[in-house]
Amino acid sequence: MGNITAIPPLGSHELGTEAIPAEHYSSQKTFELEKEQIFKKTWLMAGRKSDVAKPGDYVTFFIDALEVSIIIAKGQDKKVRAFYNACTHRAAHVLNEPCGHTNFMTCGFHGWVFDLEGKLADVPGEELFGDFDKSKLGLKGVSVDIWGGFIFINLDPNPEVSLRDYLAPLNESFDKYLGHEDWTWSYGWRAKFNANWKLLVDAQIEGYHVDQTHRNTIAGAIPGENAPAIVYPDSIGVPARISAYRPEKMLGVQTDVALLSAKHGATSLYTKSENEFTAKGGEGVLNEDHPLWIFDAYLLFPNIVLFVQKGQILVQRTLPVSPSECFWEVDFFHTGEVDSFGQLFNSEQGRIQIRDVLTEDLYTAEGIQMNFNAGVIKEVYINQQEIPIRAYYHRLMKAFKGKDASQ
Amino acid sequence: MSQMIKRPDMGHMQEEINLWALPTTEERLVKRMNSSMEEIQRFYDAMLPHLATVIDYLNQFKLADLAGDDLKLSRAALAMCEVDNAVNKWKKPVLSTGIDTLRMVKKSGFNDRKVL
Repeated sequence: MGNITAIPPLGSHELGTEAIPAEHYSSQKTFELEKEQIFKKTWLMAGRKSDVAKPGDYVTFFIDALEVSIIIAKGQDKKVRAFYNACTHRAAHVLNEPCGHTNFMTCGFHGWVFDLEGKLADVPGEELFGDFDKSKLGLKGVSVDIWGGFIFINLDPNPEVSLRDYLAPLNESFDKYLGHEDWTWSYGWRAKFNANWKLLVDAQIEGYHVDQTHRNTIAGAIPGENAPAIVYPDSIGVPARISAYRPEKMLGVQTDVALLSAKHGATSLYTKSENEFTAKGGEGVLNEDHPLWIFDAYLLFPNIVLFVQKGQILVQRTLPVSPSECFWEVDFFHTGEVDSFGQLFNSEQGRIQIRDVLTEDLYTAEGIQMNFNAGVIKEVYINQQEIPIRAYYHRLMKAFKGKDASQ
Repeated sequence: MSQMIKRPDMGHMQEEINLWALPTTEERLVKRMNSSMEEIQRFYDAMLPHLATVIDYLNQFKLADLAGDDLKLSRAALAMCEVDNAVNKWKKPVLSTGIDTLRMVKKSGFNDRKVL
């Protein structure tokens, strides 16, 4: 064994062993609770700080389940604010692009103009209205905060906890590392699924599936027994995480193409690169003491799985549309420009490997949903390695009970 | 100064390069999905013995400076990333245990939801 550190235990039964009801994924009643108790009350990742770098930069974010569109804009005072994307005249969306730059937000319907602080600045033909107090007709504000370079919004005007408290145990080291300005968005994909949004989260937060689900791609590169899970029972917004470690001896197929790629970078999760690349400032975040560690994936309640590794951040987001429909997205962040062909080859190879593995992760959800919707399967069973799914379920149940329970 | 690496002679597989040197990952994906295993294998077998040299040769230049036949060669080399799993793991052009890859639509930024 030499100096190789032991892999942590796979997980535990500390949260119980009972089955989870299928209706948690299929019922309209559960979905209504999710809308009211979760999507209207918790911190939701809505953008990247670098996308609103300059005064006048904005992004829009859509919560499909609530039919709510949000504007996030940086003011002339460099403060980032969030608003409902709803003109206070006759309710049109004020901005319709995913991102852009503007000094004033002008509604395309009748031309009402709002400044970057959300104040109503100009009304064409103001004299045509009767009693009229412009100061009361600014855009409706939404709570907003920034952590790890990501913008989070909360529809609750007075969130029960601050974003920082919400994300504990992810501490200031994570905020600093993930928020480092060197990280830039490099690519991402979006897909629509006929499946409950939580199924796509579940697929990413347990290591039990790896050997079977990924038998045709990465079998051997991350054995299931090298993907342990832990839970954070005291955390409000981070119920659990899984980690991934390489085997001491790589099993499975390491192709010539993968090995050539590994000479030029470390984009692939599944091939050990020749020159290990580490972004700056990872102390307390990256498990650099363990020679086999690849990544930690944190469940950020309710809908984010955040993968942290050396040289790459990967964010998976799932947004519900209805009990049986959702959007799923993945976004990658890297440091440094790709300016040589070796780097490009490495990036392309890593991206394609992850893409093909993700197609496997996403393959089961729609079939599961059909079996739930048809009433064929009434409950599901969770083992100790799958404990993050139970932690996630418990967190949802707490949220459904309301205010006091989420503390 | 390290010595310049000479451009490898790829004349013997120009036809294969022409077929696979598509500009984007998405186009190379579609090409792989629509090719027979024989076509994929022919390209892979022709390129693999030269791939290390091709990468080293192209790696000498700034990406932005790649043009003409070198740009074409770089795209064909990238196509090796696309066919790798088909050749070495699946033994068929398309993975049968995953969703249709084309359902994952490429975004242009973190907040891009216009693509879908």
